[in-house]
Order: sequence, then structure tokens, then C-alpha cells
Amino acid sequence: MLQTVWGWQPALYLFLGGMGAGAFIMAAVLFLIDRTRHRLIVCVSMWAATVSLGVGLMLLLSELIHPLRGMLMWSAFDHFTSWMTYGAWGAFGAVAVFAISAVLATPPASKWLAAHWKWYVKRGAGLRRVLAIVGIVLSAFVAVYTGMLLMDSRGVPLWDTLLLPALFTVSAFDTGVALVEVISVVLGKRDRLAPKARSLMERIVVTLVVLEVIVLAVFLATMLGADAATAAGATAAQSATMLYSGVLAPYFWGMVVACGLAVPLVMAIAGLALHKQKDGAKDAVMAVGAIGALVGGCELRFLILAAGVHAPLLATTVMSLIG
Amino acid sequence: MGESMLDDMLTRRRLLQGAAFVGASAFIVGAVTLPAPASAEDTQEAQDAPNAKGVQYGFLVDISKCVDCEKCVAACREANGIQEGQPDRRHIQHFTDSRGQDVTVSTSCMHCAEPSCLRVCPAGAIVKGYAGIVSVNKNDCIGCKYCYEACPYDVPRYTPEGMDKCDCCLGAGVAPGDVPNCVRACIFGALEYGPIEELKAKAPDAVLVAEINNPSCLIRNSISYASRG
Repeated sequence: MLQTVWGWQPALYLFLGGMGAGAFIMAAVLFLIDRTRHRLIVCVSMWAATVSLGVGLMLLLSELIHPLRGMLMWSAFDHFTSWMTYGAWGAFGAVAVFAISAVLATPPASKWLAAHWKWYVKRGAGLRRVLAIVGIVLSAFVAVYTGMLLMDSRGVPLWDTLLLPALFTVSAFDTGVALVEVISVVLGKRDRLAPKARSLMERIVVTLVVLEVIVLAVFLATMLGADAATAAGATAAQSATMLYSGVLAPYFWGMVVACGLAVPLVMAIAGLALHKQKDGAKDAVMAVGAIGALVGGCELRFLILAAGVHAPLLATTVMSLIG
Repeated sequence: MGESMLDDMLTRRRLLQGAAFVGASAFIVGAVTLPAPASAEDTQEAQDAPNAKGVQYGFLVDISKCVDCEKCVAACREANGIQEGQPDRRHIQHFTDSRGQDVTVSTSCMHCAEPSCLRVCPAGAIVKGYAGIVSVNKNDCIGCKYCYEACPYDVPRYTPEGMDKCDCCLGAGVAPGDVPNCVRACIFGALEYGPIEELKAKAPDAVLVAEINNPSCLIRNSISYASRG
């Protein structure tokens, strides 16, 4: 039996929200390192981050029984004991900062502002730096939040661990970098990725994938080894078994582990090894790795949601009474 | 006044409230740091606090007396006007004991002392009121279903109006602390309702359905207990 009350919209939101946050961080880092280079890649990546998070939020709204009530945020999200409340306001703030950053990164908009607003000529660059830093902070919050939302429900044993926000955060950064990589490959003829930036992104991918493998392994091991004498522990183990060797195993091993972790790791290492080769080969390697990371990151959210079943607390108590 | 007109007024009022909030600066900071204005529920709760006297009411379910007649489910549906096709608030689950016999258990919301649903509801649509009854204000529920994921007892169900669950028949006009319709309908004495401490004293063999959130539902197997005694 799988968890089906939260369906594909929340799963896709968790992926798009995390990916958008990660993509903004990568774009902002590229901008902060050298604001004279990669202008087009930064601009398109910031727009992609905005659209990604914005579409994710729309998907969440569409999942609500009362979407219009959900849009009235001041009344729909005013109960601050809920992580969803913090997440809604945080994601709203993030999408606003992403959108403003994206507009300011767009050459025609930037030129128009400079022509009509003297202050912007002097302070525009500083404003963009501040927005990049604020956006990074909000992105980090959104990335962590996607996991905290599940963890803090506390009703689902598989999700009731800090390892889940850790896993989703690393995966958010990983898929975000992957999205910027795809964008930089697509825009390769108009805005070529500098060798140092390419190397930086590939090193980041290697680091994040290794980190994600460790967090995922510890997460699964913790759940598989949970105290089976308790209903919650037995259910956590049952959920992890679904992923490890059960009904979800083909998707887990094929799409998350092979496609989402092994392929990006191999391709990033290959990219680093091929640094003296032609750009075409390096682009192909980068694109394959990045697409693999995106597929795996998306599937990870779907599988974690599907395997998140409740513990049969009533059944455990009744069975203890009837023997 | 028609329901749709009420809804319109509610929506308009909310829009105006929202506009005022947005017009005022630093809304988010204010919402986080300042004490929230008293809601209608808070006021009602304060007025009725002397009646509640901090007493938590709950259910005592005797699995040895349940015969799966479903009268409790039918009474709940009828009293609360649950329409055809919409989910039950009370559920009967089947188990098999060591002798291969069918055992049935009727449960609904556990009216927990520390309800997860209330904690995670972003809209504050779930309240814990007099007699410890946990109920949903459907005018505030946005239908995010976070309460389902948070409830360890698999209780919340959803209708086009929002989250739906047992409110001890408050919505059906039963006063807090009075016996809900499911218990009245149970002619076999499998269900009892009352202050949870009194129920514990009355049935010392009964156990809480689980530990999480300190639920207000006791389960007992009185025949087995009597035969052991």
C-alpha cells in the first residue's frame, strides 16, 4: 500500500521548488564571482529558477480543495506553528526575489531602468549583489523547507528524521546545478561557459553527488534498522524496504541511484578529465550528467512521497489485546 | 441569506482585511512578532472555558462487545448529514484473533491532548475546544491535506468542503460533554463516552490506542480480561 493522499502535484512541487532554489544559488554564485561574464547564462538561469518555483507553487495551489482561499495568503497561512506557513511565505518571498533578480539580469530591462532611473546607474550593480545574496538565503530556506515540510508532519515514520531535509537539500542543490548546466550547454554558442566556471560546476556536482550518496545511504540504513518492535519502527523499515527491494525498487535503483547519482558522478569526473578536449565533447558529457541528475532528483521526491505510509497504531494495540 | 451570499461577503471581507494588511508595512514581521488578534474561536473558547473545566472527554471502545452492526457509523452519518458518496467519520476495522475469529473495532478521531492536525494546519482551521473536542472550521480550511500526513491515526478525510472528521457531534447540535450519536446508537455497549480519567478508572484494563499525541481513546477487551480475572 502506497501513500496517495498527496499525489503528483506536491511531489513535483518538492522537486521544482528544490531545483529552482538550487538553480538560483548556482546562478547567483556565477554572478557574484564575476558579474561581467556569463550574463546570458545567469539571466536565463534566474528566469528558469523563477518559473520553476512559480510553477511549483501553482501546482500546490491546484492540489488544494479551495485554491482561491489558498491565494489569500494572509488568512490561509497565518498559523505559525506549521512549517507550511513558513514555507509558503518563504517560497513567496523567494519567487519575488528571483523574479526581480531575473528582470534586472535581463539586458533590455536593465537598459530601460538605467535610462529612466539615475539611481540605478550608480547603485544597480550593488542592488543586484544584495538581491543575489538575499536570494541565496531564501533559496537555502526553500531547499531545506521541502524536506522540513515532510519531516515536521511527524505522522509518517519514513519522513520523521532530519536526514530527510538533509537529503532533499543536497538534492535541491544538485538538481539546481544540473539545470544551470543544461542551460549553459543550450546557450553554448551565445555565452560560452568559461573553463574555470565549468570546472567549478563539475567539482560541485562531484561533491554534491558524493554527499547525497552518503546521506541517502545513512537515511535508508537508519530506516531499515529502525526498532521493529514498535509500530513506527516497523513501518519505517517497511517503507525503506519498498524502496530498497520492494515494489518501488526498480524505480529507486534505476532512476534515483543509477540515473540520478551514478551517471552525474561519472559524467562530472569525465568532464574534469576531458578539460583539454573540445567543447562539444565536454558539453555532451555535461548535458548527459545533468539530465540524469534532473530525472533522478524528480523521481526521488515521487518515491519518498509514495513510500510515506502511516504506522498501523490501532492494529498494533488491538492485536496486543486479542493475541 | 443564501450560503453563496455569505461566502461572497466572507471573501469580500477577507479581501478587505488582506488589503489592510498589505497596505500596512512589515506585515510578515508583525505577524510573527506581535500577538495575533483574538479570533472568534479564541473568544468563544474563553467564554466557555468555565464549562469545559479543563476536562478531556474521550471514547472507551470494548472490542469484545462490538458485533459489526454498523449502527454507530449509520447514526453518525445521519446526525451529521453526511451525504451519499462522502467518507464516514467513524470506521470499523476488522482483525483476526489467535483462534481465527473476526474482531471488529469502531473508532473515529482520537481528540488528542496534543493534536498534530492542529499544529500543522497552516490556516489555523483546527481548534481544540471545550471537553477537549478537536474540530474543524470549514470556512477556514484550505484543503491542503497536511493534517492527514500529520495525523498518526489516519483520521482526516476530505470532502468538497474541506477536511472532515468527528467533532463529537458538535455540528449536529450535541453539547460538549454530552454523549455523541454513535455512542447512543451502540446498543451492545461497545462504545462509551465521558471524561477520559473517569473512563480509565471505570475500565482499568483498558489501554490507550497508542502513546503518540496522548489520544483520548481507550481500547479494552473486557471478556478476555474477565476470563483472566
